[in-house]
Amino acid sequence: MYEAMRHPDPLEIIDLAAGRLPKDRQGEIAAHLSACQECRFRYEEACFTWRALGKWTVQRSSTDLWVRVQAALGHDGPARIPSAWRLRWAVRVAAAVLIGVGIGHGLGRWTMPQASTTTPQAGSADLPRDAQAAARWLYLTSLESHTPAGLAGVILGMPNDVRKEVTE
Amino acid sequence: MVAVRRGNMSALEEVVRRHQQNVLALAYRMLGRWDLAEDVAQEAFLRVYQAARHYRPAAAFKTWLYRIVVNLCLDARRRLRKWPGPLPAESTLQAGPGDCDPLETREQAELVQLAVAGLPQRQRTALILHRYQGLSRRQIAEVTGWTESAVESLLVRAYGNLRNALVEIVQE
Repeated sequence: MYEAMRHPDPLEIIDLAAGRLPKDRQGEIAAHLSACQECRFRYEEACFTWRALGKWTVQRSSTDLWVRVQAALGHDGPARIPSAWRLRWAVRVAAAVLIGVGIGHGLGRWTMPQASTTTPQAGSADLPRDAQAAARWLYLTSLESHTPAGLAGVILGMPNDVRKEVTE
Repeated sequence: MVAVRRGNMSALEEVVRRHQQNVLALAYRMLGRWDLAEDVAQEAFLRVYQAARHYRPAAAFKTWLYRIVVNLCLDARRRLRKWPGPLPAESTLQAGPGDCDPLETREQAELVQLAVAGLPQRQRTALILHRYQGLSRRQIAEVTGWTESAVESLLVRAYGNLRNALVEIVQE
């Protein structure tokens, strides 16, 4: 008969040692333990472990958390002092923003068309086709700069027939 | 919590005062440092306030609160691994009741703490919630998001792993 009785789960034995089992289940397992040496040994081990773990108790903290929570929510009291990990996160975000701005600026400079340093032949009678060549032909070397705004501004100031040649 | 959801600060204060000791104890056992435990506890109650409108009364508040605390503690431990801080502060352990020699039992308490700290993280979390916070395996599963069978397996292994270490400690 006892061999047919199911051995209790290991965690049930621990809960029995902790006094956490319902009364009816306590009775069932106690009956099994009285007949099963192996389970009785496991129960004694569980009792020992449970009691030993109880030696680690934590004293009541004197911290008044409500004062800190109130301050963090901005309701009276001192301003919230960020903990170290929050400051580290803030630094990481700032660094990521700076890197992103730097990369964006670099890509912008790299993708802008580069102006040639050659100068047109003096006395040439033909109008150059492309806008940059036109700028050079007009000795507008300041337009070899970095933004199209400067070139566009000058082209817009050109006479209509020259502008047409430059922008076609 | 319904009152907290409406922005009632008195209700929030009551929630904080009622649960702060348990939350601090849980955070301290998981992190081993009071300064980190206080940061986590503060953050947990702030999140309770911010998330109050999502809280469903059907869920046990304690389980919901502990879930926040455990997740914050696990985040804090991950950050500690990346940026190890100073050594743990002086222990504020107390020996259990009914012991004869305070010094001897204080040493045993510290050794028990070290034994628990030596467990793998999931076993340690499950054990702390079961032994020290009094949660059932179902409640532990709700707090951690693990299955009940996983919780049971972790607890059995944790108690088994601790048994041999504790025999040596108590017999000294």
